[in-house]
Amino acid sequence: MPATRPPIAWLTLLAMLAGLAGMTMGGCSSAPKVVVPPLLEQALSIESDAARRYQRGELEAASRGFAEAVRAFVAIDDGAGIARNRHHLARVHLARGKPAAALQQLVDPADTSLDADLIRAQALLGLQRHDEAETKLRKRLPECTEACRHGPALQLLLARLALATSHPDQAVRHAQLALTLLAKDATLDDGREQANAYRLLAQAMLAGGAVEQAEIAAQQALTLDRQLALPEKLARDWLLLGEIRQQIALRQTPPSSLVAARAAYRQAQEIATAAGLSELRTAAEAALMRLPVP
Amino acid sequence: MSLLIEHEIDSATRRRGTRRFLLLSLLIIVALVTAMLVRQGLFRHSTKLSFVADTAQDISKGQAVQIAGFRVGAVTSVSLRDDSRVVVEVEVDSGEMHLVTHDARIELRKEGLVGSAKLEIIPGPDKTRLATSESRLAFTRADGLGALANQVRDEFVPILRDIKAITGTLADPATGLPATLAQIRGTTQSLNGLLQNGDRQVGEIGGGATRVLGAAETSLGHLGRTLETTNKQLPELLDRAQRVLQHTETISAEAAASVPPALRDGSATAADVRDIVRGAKQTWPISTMVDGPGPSRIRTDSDPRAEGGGASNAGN
Repeated sequence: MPATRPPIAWLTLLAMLAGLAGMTMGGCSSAPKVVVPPLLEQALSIESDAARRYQRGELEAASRGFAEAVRAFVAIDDGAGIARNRHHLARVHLARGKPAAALQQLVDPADTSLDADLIRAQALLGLQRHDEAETKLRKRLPECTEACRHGPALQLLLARLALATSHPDQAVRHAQLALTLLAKDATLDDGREQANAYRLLAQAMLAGGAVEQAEIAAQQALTLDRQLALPEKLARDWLLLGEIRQQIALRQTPPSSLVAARAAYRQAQEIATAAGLSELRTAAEAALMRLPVP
Repeated sequence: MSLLIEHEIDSATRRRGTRRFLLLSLLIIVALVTAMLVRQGLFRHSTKLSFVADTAQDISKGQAVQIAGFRVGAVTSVSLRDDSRVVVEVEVDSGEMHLVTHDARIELRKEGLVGSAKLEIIPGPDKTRLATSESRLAFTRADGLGALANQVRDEFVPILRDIKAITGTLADPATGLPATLAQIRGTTQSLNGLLQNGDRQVGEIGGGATRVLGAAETSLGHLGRTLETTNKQLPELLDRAQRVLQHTETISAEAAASVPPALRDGSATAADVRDIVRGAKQTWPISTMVDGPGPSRIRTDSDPRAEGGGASNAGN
């Protein structure tokens, strides 16, 4: 009588066959992948790498990466890729404090997108060409009111413009509107625009004399920037807090001690030193020196 | 009887001679008269022209009318009109009318500015139409001595006026030449003082320069000693540098032999790895876990440097 397999062996074999069948069906059921041409894939890869570097704060490397991506897309005549990477490169230049270089990336008059105009306005603001920046922003305002992805950014740029031209009331209004728009749609922002809005609100309220409210807004900005771990913004938030606390202390009768203000400036100095931000470190040291010796 | 016949014959001969003489005289007289009349232009054909002038000065009846200096006619009448202007009629030989265009003008000229006046017909630019009988021509007067004198006066008077003003300014004791000379005298005195001060200062500078040169000489002496020391130590330094360079060359030569193959191998290996990874990414189930290549998006940041309303000092 021939030997028969034990039941457990049959079950094991059945399970293996079922698994194999499942894998095969799964592989057959997925949509066929679109084959991307090698040069396009290479360009997208360079862009993606530069974007990761930007997110990590490696601005120098990100700048080189996006510039290379632009060249790669120019080589394959991909207009959308060229425009997109020019926008990325312009944003990197703005983050590095080079508004003229950012503007240079957007000299093509054919690029009339809202994104491009916002970057141009931001660069013009950096170059203190306020009239031109205002013209660009006001022109775009009607088409970006409610359901507009760039609505918060537009309002925040208008708030910055109002601060630059010494209109703190208008700056408060625009910053509050930006916060309202951001609250409606959480996908619009990862927290940095919200922090920007609170910071601008704090600066505008300080300029308008509402120092207590300014401190609350500045604390909000600091909390958000701490979550995002952005050293430059953290240092500037502490500098702003120091300035606000200094004003609060001086307005009291008699003027109270400036311990809180001094502590804020020192914190800004430490962050700037640790992050290698020499300009901010110098500003913090200057602010400390201006405080009267206790 | 023969005497009477001879007397008759003589008388007849005398009468014949007298008749011949009278006839000849008459012919001569007629010829002379005819010649005179021809000379006077009685048989000549002429054309009448006229012109209007403001005044009849230098114009008289019988005055010659010329074309290019040749007499072609004469003034036949000079009359005053009711509007105090003068109408002058001339007659011109018909044979010369082919030179008188419809837009010709008559000009009164004086020979040599003070000589006799003559009327000159000047043809116009349009040679296609000629003047007809009884045509009225334009009239002009050439500038004479009087006009020339007026022109000279008009040009000289402003110049004389300017000379007078300049000489007046120069002579002004407050702002003219005497004051300028006084200022120059004062400036010269100041300049003399300045030169004297300059001489003194140059003398002082010379003394200072002498001291500086002395100090420079001392420094050069130090430099000389330093160079001597360097000169002593330099050969040893150069020897050491030579040995280091030789070591470096040896290492470079060895690296040149070994590094390129390693790089090539590494590059080939990296390309293989890339191909393997790309292939794996396109294979299920890894392809469902890995996003395909696509455009990247970076977050909008309306204030990346937290500058608020201010601009960065770094600029560009």
